[in-house]
Amino acid sequence: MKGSMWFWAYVAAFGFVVGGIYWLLTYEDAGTAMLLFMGACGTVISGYLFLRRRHVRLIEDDPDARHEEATEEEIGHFSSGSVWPIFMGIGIAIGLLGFIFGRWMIVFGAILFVWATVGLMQESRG
Amino acid sequence: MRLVAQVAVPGAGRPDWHAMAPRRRPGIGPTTIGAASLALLLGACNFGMNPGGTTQGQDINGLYRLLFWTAIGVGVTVYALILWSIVRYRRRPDDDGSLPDQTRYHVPLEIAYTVIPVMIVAFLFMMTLRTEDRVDAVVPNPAVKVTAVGFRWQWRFEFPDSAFSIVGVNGSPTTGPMIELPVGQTIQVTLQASDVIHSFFVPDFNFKRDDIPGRTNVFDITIPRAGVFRGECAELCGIGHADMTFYIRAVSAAEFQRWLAANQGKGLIESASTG
Amino acid sequence: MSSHDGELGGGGRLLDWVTTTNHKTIGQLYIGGSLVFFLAGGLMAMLMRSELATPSLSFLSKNAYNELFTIHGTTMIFLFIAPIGLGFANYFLPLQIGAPDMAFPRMNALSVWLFLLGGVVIQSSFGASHGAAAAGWTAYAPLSSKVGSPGPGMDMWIMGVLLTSISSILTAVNLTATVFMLRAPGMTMFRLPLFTWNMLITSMLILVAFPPLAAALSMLFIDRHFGGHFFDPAHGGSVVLYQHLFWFFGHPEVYVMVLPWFGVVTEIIPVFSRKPLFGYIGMVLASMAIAALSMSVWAHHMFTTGAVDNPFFSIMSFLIAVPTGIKFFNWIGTMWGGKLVFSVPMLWCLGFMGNFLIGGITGVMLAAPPADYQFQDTYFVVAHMHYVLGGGSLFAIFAAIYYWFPKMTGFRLSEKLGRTVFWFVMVGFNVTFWPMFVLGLRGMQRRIAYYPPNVGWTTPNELATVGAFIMAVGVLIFLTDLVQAFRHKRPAGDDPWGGYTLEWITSSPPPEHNFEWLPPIRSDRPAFDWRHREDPRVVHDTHITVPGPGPGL
Repeated sequence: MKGSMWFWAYVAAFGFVVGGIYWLLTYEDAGTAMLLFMGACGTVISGYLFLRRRHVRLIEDDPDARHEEATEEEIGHFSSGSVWPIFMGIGIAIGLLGFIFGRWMIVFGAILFVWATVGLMQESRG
Repeated sequence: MRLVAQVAVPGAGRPDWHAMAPRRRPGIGPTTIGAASLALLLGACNFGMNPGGTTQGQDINGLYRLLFWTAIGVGVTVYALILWSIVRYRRRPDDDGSLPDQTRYHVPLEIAYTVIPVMIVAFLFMMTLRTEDRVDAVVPNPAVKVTAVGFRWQWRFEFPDSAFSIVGVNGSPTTGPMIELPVGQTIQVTLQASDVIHSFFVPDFNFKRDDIPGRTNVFDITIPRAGVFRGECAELCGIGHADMTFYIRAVSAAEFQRWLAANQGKGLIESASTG
Repeated sequence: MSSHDGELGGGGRLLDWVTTTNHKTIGQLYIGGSLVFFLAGGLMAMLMRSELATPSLSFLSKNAYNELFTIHGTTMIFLFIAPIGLGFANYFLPLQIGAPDMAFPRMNALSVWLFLLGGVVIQSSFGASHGAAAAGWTAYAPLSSKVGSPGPGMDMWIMGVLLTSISSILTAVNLTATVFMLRAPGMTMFRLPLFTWNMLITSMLILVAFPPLAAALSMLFIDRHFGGHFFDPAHGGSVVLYQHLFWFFGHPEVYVMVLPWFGVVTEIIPVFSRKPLFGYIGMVLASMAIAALSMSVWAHHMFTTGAVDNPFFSIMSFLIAVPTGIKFFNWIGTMWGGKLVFSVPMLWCLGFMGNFLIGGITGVMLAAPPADYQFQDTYFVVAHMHYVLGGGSLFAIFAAIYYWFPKMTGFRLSEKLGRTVFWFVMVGFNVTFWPMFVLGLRGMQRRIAYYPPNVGWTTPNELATVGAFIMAVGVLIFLTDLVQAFRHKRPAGDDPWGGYTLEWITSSPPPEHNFEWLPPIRSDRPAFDWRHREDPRVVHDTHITVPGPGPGL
């Protein structure tokens, strides 16, 4: 857990430091903005992990951990198949293509995407 | 910390190479002459780049040769190491299946091949900066001013002080307008007012600069010797991108004045000439 | 591509493929789809090379040629090199860390469908009125504006690229979460295989770099259709702004296309040298340095605009050579003192090193703005980028295929055919792209279908076309190798190469949730440690800890 916090903290530091140097050297808006935003994104992620640091203990950060110790944890839900992702994808694709070929397609794609998303969420709860 | 693995040499009784090598007399022999010739030859080599039809271009050529020399040095070293590894450390047919020394790191070596490249790169950057400052420099009072405007798909060359412009028509890879410029004087080229991005590129000058809508770019060139130089567009601008050929003819100052006077005040001159 | 192992039962085979959320099946969809797009992009390249063999326009129209190089570049970048890396990551990253699947399997499925749909949109844009996009894969404004590129082809290009971008971002999220949260006990960060590390770093690059691309393309679309003027200088916009946004994405993107393959090569060389990786920590730090520096070099694509601070970008670009060099020396250090076996995957890695060195060195030349004033937008750049992406990444992709095909399918490819493919592609590649350095030095600009016959450009072009056909033969032989492997079904076994990482512990192909059992994980070579657990020379309790801000990562 600490690893991911530090990883994103380094990204944040890089964005702010290089963004600052870049601004002072060039006064160029676009690059500075993008670098600073990169710093902000890193801050959001590492900041969140910092705030939650006491709540998560990862067994995989222990170099001497043994497999037996991990059997109690539930590490996630790994579905064996789901019909919703492809419909979500088709909905997004049709929606975007609607900007080119006709506004009605945007509506159709949005409806398909929302329907599939709802299906996905219900599947998670079920 | 362990040193680079020592590989045991099986078998006994290695031949005495020292005793078997032919004796060499000290002094200048074929090896020295050969090495010196190679160095001279390589030193004179442009490694494929144009020697440079402008003083700026010659400067760029010099930097390129430095970069190429460094490239040769680095390339030869790394290729030699790779080839040596392939030849020396390949698994022999009579291999006994044992594991070689499982070396994982060597900190002084790793630091060395981090620091040395940084030093090489810093040196290259310093030399680059010097060349760039000279190439990009523009003077406040150039001898000649010309404005080049790219459009789809040719160029228009404006000589505002002499009230005429030459515009290319029906361009192709081999035909296009020709303008004359004087030898030995500072010529300031201004790029502006294009429809899409084009790029003013003269390969013989080792130089290009983009012609960008909404932006004015200015650069200086000084042409030391007379000649005809082909120019082209180097930024994709549509289906006629290959047709934006133009020619620069560098002539004596006197000839240039005659050419200016001949075109003085004629406004827009269409030119499809020259291949 | 097999899904007959412990996969979803019942229903039709097609339904299984369409509803899969298993990372291995999704990985195969990525890899198979990418290879099909590779063939399409390769066909476009063969058409272009055939046209360029003679100076004058022969069988293509000017617009057709422009569409071809645009979609060729777009296909190879967005639909081949990047996604096939994500495909191998999908398949092997969970295996390498001892996980049963990716962190978000259904989002993983969404990613692959978006990739395939985006690819279909891009390829079908050839059928749009006014043809496909023809402004280059870079789509600079104003050429890509409504005036410069009328017709829906450009819009389909935008939407297709946006679809693949969303796909990549979602996969990057998935990979990051998987690496941080799903490692098996004992698999600390500094025991991760280098392929996993590089995929983690690649994911970070994707997360930071793709949003500016999405912004640039959305702004372009707004300019085209909703009365926007972002890139229109006549109404207060800026043409150069597009380039900043595009290249802030575009440069990290080229490292997204190279870092996974650095990782693959770093997996294969130690195995076939019978030694551990030399300089593990240096490799990890070098990958991080490359990623970091790649975010600060974008405007080296803009040196000739006169609109950017050339020295800043020049020094940053020069510096990237340093961590890349470290990687080279560590690969050499791995081979040094080893017992090299030249199986096909190793051949591809050696070819990779030889070619990428040229690509990298010419990259350093391009980092000098005055030199770039000559090279920019010429065939010198085309040669450089194909040496790193073709001679580099493509060779490593073949290495990955030859290395991991036995694990994915349970069958063996042919060493003999593989060697033949290698030599055809190695020779063909160099005959194609080396002359392009010469062309660039002689001033041949990019993106032209016809050229003057009297300036010394004809012979190098003829050579390049010959080389392209030699490469094409190599690719055809590769396809026959694939076909014969599936036909003869010679069993590969769990561990045909003596691999070091966890995927070689499990069966070929792996069961649905990957592992029946796991060995103890105490180093970066858990499979090797397990197979050599009786060998006194092998150290078992290898802690690689880093003095850092916390008690090890």
